[in-house]
Amino acid sequence: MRAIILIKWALVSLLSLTSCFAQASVPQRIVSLSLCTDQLLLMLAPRQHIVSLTRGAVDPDLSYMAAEANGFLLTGGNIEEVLPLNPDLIVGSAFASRDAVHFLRQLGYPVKLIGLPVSIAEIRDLLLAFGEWVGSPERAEQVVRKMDWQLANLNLQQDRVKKTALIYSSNGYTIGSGTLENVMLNAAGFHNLAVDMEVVGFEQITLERVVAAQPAFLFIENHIDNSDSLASQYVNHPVLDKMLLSKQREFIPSRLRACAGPMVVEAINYLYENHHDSKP
Amino acid sequence: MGLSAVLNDESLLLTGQQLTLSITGGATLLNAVSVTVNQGELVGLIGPNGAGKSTLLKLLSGVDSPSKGCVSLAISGSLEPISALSVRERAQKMSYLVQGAKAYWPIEVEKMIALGRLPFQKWWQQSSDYDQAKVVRAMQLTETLIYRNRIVTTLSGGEQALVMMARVLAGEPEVIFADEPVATLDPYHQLHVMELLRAHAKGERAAVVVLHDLSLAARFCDRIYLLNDGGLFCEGSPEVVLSQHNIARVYGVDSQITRVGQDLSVSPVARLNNR
Amino acid sequence: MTVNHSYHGVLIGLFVAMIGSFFVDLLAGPVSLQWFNIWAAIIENKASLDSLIFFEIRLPRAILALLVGATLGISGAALQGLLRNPLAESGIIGVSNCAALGAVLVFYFGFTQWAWFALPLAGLLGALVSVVLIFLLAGRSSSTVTLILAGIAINTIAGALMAMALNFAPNPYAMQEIVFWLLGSVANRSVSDVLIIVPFIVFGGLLILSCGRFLNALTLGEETASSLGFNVQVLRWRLVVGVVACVGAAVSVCGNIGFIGLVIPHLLRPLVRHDPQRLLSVSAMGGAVLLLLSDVAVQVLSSGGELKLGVITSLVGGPFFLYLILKNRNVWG
Repeated sequence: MRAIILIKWALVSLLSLTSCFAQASVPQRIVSLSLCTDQLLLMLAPRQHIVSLTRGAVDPDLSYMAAEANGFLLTGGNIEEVLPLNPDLIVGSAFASRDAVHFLRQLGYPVKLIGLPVSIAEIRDLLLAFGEWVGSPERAEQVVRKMDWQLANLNLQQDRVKKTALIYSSNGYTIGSGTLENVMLNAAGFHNLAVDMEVVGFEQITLERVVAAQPAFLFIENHIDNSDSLASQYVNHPVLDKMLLSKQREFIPSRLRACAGPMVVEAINYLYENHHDSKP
Repeated sequence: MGLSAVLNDESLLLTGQQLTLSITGGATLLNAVSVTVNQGELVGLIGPNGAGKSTLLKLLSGVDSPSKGCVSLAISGSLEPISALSVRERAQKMSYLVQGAKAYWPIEVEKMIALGRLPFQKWWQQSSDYDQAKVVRAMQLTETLIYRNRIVTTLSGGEQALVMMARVLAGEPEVIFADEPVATLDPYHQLHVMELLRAHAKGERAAVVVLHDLSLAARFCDRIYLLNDGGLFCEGSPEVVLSQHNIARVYGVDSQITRVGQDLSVSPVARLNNR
Repeated sequence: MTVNHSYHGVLIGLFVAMIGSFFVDLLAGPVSLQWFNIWAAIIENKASLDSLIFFEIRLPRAILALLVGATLGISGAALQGLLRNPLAESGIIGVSNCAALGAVLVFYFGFTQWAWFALPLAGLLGALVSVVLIFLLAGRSSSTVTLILAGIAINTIAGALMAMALNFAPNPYAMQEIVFWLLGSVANRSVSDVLIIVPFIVFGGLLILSCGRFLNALTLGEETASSLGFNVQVLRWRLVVGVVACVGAAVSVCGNIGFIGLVIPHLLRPLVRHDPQRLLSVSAMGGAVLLLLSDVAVQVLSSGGELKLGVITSLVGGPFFLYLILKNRNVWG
């Protein structure tokens, strides 16, 4: 019994020692647990320091950085897959794999989690902080400077009266105030009607309220191509096609919106082009 | 078998020839039993438990079909197999009273008795005045008119038995088949139900009744079929069938048979070991 | 106690109640409609926002509530008459869950494209399997205990298979949607959902109604019914096909909405003096009224429509089921 406790103690102290050591210098073996940290790593960290990404990282529909993700080890983000990789930094999302994160922290691994930015300023902060974690703050500053320059030069012709818009997503969700999506809509020259409906964050609204809102642009977001689910029946309901005063558009594709980063510029541009094209 | 035969005997009403019923698995419940029922006859089916009385009654009444053999009914001078009749025609001429008859829903007595008129109504028809008259007549015959608005499930066992008889009588069938209609009744109601069956079996009509009470069988039946172990043991008038010898052989009991006026009285007195 | 209402009075009363609840359900919703605009759309064919909401969202919803409520009511009355048991109900004996299983298999695995009737047909076949199982497990005896136990077994198996099917469905949302199939809803349905089930419900309903006299005869048991001139074998199947056609179709677009088939026939039986034939049409209308009013309650209680219809009917029906069990406890020993 004593022996086991002794071994345990030794193990724990050893682990904390290595983690102290790791934090002091630039991490050499970085493991990512989420799709968004995959993309940030590929953008900011030196390639030779990245050990593994998640499986979504190579999917061009899901990831902005899919082309750069080739050649890395891909995992499902499980503890059992991650531990043998002997990481000295684990990055993930605050909203995914909580149990794994909790467990990894208990074992003494350094885990850094990113939040969900809801403004351009927060994206800026996130990029800079992430740069610090992976030991390339200069690269992060460079990315932020480029993003700011692009935002300043978007050259969007803002109408005096903003066009009204509403997002309708699988399962009847719309997106209101306090979200990056709302910021992007505003930046692209739209007025989000969900904010008028006092929707905060993500909320379910009925088809009736969508129809009654009569947005000039109805942004449909169907997360999946497969329409065989009740969730997709909301966005496939025939009434949406009969809203004559609303133009139906697809919302920002997943690759631009699965992660908050410099791709926000492209996303805003995508939305902006939607009300300047001549499609009915 | 399927062809109808011209009747020689004018009074013959129903015949069952070589009736056999085997169930899947091979057991034979009834083995080549033949029965005839004449107009005006009350025929008794007796025998120990499991002898095949109820099975025979269901085959004769057309509720079940035999594996072998044929039941035929006299229709305007010729004998027709009942399998050739439609279920509706058959139901108009023959009525079956199940053992321990009961209503599964608490409906009113009059409504329950009116079910006996179902074979005479087409699917779109409601009960006619003529049907209603027959229902009232059946209630009069059975002295159940006073219960007409009562809920049938609230009646006593004896009252229910009479109401069930009224349901059968409302159809004015040519033959009534009754399975142990008096088994659970007190002597008063036993006699009442037997008298109703006896009264029905007059003129061109007849009744076949399964009984356990041998004295009642002796007193009311014109002819008796004694069944044993799925086969016919003997058949004939009560005096012939209800002998001490037959009762000992079939039931395994010693019995005392006395004559009371015109009728026999049969009382079992002791079990025999050499059954 | 005899309740002295005439049958026609009950019919007319329920019909009026049904039409009334239908219009109340049309009124219920998060947006208040200008009836003038709807009238204009009908008369002058002038489309407006109000008419769009009315014809594309509310009307299909209310028609579905009416059809499905009627289906559940009439099939409850039919099953109770057939099995001569007041606790027989499509939800309790597992018919609805098996229908939902059939629908799930077709819906999530892309078979709905095969034919317009693929979904309701799958519901029908699922329901048919459960009825055959009930006959095999419980026989045709009216023993309540056996019937309920068989129902529990079938419900459990169907529920597990449904969860498994949803787990393997090529769709990330499928598993969450088990709630819909288990509780049922008429929200967010479209005109096409109504159209695909109407033929099945009309066909099934007519088959059931054509067995009315047979159900009356069954009051005295199967053998007596046979002796009263009914071909029990044929009519039993006709009734079963009628029930599975309409229940299967209803469940395939609205999920398993529970207890209506239990509550409604029980409440209405005294009004028709326990006449099984008359109970059929009366239960159809009563079921429609209950489901329409439940949908109104859903609209009032949750403007987002996220509350499932089956929650309301189960809240009404569950305690009622308990009450029936307590009331009949002595009878069942």
